[in-house]
Amino acid sequence: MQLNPELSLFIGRFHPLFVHLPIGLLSFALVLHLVQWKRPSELLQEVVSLLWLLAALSGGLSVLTGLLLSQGGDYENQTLSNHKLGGIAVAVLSLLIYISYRLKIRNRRFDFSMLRFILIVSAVGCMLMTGHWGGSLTHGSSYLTEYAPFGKIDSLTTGTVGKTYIRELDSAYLFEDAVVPILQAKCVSCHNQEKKKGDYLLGTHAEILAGGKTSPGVVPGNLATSELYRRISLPQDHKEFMPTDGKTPLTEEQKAILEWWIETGAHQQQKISALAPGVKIKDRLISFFQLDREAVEGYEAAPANPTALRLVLEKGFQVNLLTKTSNLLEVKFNGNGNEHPDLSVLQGINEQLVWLQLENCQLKDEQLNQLGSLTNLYKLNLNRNPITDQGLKPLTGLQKLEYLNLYGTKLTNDAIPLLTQLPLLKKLYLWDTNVKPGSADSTMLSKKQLELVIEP
Amino acid sequence: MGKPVHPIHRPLSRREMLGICKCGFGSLAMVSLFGSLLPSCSGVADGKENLLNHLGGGALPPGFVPKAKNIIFLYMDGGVSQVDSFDPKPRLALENGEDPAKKFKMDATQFGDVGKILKSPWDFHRYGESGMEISDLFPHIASCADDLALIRSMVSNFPEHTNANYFLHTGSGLQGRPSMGAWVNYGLGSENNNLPGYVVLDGGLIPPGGLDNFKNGFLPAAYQASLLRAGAEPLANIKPIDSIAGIQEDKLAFLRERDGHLLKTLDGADAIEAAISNYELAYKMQSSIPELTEFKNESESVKKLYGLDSPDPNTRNYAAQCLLARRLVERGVRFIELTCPDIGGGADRWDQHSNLKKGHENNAHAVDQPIAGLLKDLKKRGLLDETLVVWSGEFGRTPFAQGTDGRDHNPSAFSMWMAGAGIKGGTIYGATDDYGYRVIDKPVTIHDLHATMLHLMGMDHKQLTFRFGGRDFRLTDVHGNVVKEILA
Repeated sequence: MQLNPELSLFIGRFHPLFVHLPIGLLSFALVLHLVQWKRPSELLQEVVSLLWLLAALSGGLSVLTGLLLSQGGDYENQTLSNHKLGGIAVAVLSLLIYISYRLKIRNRRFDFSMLRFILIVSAVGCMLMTGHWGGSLTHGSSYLTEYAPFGKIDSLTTGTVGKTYIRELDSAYLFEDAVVPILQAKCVSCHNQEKKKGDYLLGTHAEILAGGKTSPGVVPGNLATSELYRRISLPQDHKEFMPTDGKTPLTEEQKAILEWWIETGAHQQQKISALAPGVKIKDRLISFFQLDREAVEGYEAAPANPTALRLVLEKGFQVNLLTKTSNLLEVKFNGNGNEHPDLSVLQGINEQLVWLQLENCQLKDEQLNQLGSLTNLYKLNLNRNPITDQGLKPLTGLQKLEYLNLYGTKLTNDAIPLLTQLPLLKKLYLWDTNVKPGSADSTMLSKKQLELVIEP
Repeated sequence: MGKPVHPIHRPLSRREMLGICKCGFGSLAMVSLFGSLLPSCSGVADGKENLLNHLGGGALPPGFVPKAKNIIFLYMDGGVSQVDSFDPKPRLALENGEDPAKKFKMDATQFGDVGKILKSPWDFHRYGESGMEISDLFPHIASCADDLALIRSMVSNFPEHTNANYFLHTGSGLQGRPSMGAWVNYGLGSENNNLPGYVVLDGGLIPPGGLDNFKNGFLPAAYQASLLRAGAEPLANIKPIDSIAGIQEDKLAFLRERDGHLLKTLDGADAIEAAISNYELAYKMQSSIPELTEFKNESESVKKLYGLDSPDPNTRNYAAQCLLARRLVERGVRFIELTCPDIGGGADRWDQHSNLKKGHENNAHAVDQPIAGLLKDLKKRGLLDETLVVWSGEFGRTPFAQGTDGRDHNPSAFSMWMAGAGIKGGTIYGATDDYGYRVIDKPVTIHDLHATMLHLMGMDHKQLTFRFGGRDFRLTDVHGNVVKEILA
């Protein structure tokens, strides 16, 4: 049977329409069998036999359209042949059951009841299996159980949660950590062992390079001849654009990363740092790995000691986790100008404490001594406290400090030599203090490439 | 069975109990069997329990490190004309008085009274290092140009105030969804136990659509906005009526006891619990609000900066709100929205269907200096590092006249700006056509705006979900992309 391929595909695509007829007819026939078993009746027997005839016919139609559809290719062979044989079996069994009925009705001596029972059970069994194989062919084998409540734990551990979290760009691998997740997200649902669309598999590095029916998938260093790149960068309404069928296209970021991977040689095992990324692609990668969401670059601590934490809370501090996934802490004291915080308790959470806000709580110089040992602070608010130049001395030990707010304090120009000892300071607030803007000392500060807010 | 008695008055009988619960038992069993397995409000809400265990209440941790801890939303009620404020269109001057129908295809307008092409009555000048073009309507805001990220390509889905307001505030054009302030508080909690986490400062005009713009929708009632008025008594009953403090405390203790009793009878009804916590917060607010609204500790120069000494009462009104907004930020209130002052004189909000020049001028005069003052004050104090200031109306206005001297609604293009935490100052994003009528480059939807705001607060808009009616709802529904180009 050789039809013109387009016509055969046109007819073949009616397969999903026809396959549901025998399923319904068979199920209904089964129900009538059960009724017949309880209350035998001639009329019912006629109806049942008719149902089996219809099941056989629609089954045959399904088999024919299915054969035409399978010529379109792109299906996993084992499942396809199971499905094919199963479908033929359902049609043939239905026909046999119909014949056995006709024989019984014409010639009352032959009953075949035992044989027919076996045939019916096999027909229903075949139908169930065939239906399942068919579903696996169109939707993938995990489609049915993907959202099942019991399978959840497995899919999570193998899925996104289990993957290692990239903390810095230098240690990440381009292929493994960026390219594979992108392909997983946008391409693998069709290009896998079961569906094999266009005979293109994306399971391994070799398969990705090899390509499918048409030209090679990826040619290292050559964007123009890499079919994968050509397909994803076509205009979206182009016939050959991928992903097809209205599935979510790749984002600009994802495209740029794949592009850079191909250009740099499509390596399988190469660290991003070894490929010397330019500024632009580096930004893309940082955003892709969500590294721009990191607070304190490269710093993380163990969870805070609960006893120490409770002590801090009891003293009236407000404690927040910096993020859901981090153990780092932000501590705030809402003094409103009339309460004094007990800073000694902060020592217990020194490891985790990175942001400290002690705004407007009547801090005196002596109390700042207790801040000197909080060496992981990178943001500190001491604004609106009556502190003087003397009090700042212990703060010079805070070598990680990047942000210091001292507005509304009693500081003078003498504080500036102390402040220059903070090597990483990026932002400094000295508005509403006695530090004179534009004086020689304050220009010294502005030379340190830090943003100084001091205007009167 | 006897005649039905309200269950509050006596305990249930065994029969009644079974009658009421027959379906409930099954559902309870179902929920406990499957509830934990269902994909639930993953994301932010998960952190809640975790943190409550560790830290005993207060704020909730964001998904990632936030740039902003607070949002001040300066709502420009009625729709500011983009071509008269932040989106200069010289072509309007060239073709002033010509028939717009001959120039471009026009959508139906709200009032249908389409006039001629109308040039802007104001000149534009370049400001700051970025050279951002801003009209003479906003000389003070213009002086902060390098702090603003201006989006000229905003689009809305609705040409009419009420729906456009709901859309801007809740991400849906229909009434009843949670407001963005409620979402922020649901996601992050309040940092101050004595003040609500979402405050609307009422300048005198409640926007069309009413208080539903500020409601919690299906989120717990605690997340809705509290409305504060500018002036001597910002909130009804904020001064204790009882002259002796002890009497009030005794009364409250008695109320708490009775409510607690009722709560036990009803086995923990949500509404009763909410009522009890409302009384508690109201009592705390009686001491925190007067302290908040008392400006005597503010220096004269600060008051002047905001325009509290202005001869224009509307400027003074809005200045007081802006100053209040800063004080709320200092106290850890997450989301503050300012509504426009009622400037009267026939100028209905920014909604100048006629008399554009006078109306926009009066409105601009009321808000310009206070907003600039707010930005400068926040900046000096370091608060602009952690506060996102958002300035926006619900839609724009037409480049052609309504009648002779007004402009009609235009949802196809409008301008808005953001400043502060995580914003790349001096940025101009997107563009409109030669007339400022439609967006031609990089359109930004309201969903994109919400996604960006949540992103700056440390939340992934796709993760901030609440299960209601069998579905995980988001502020951005199924839309929204973070506008990364305007982020620092």
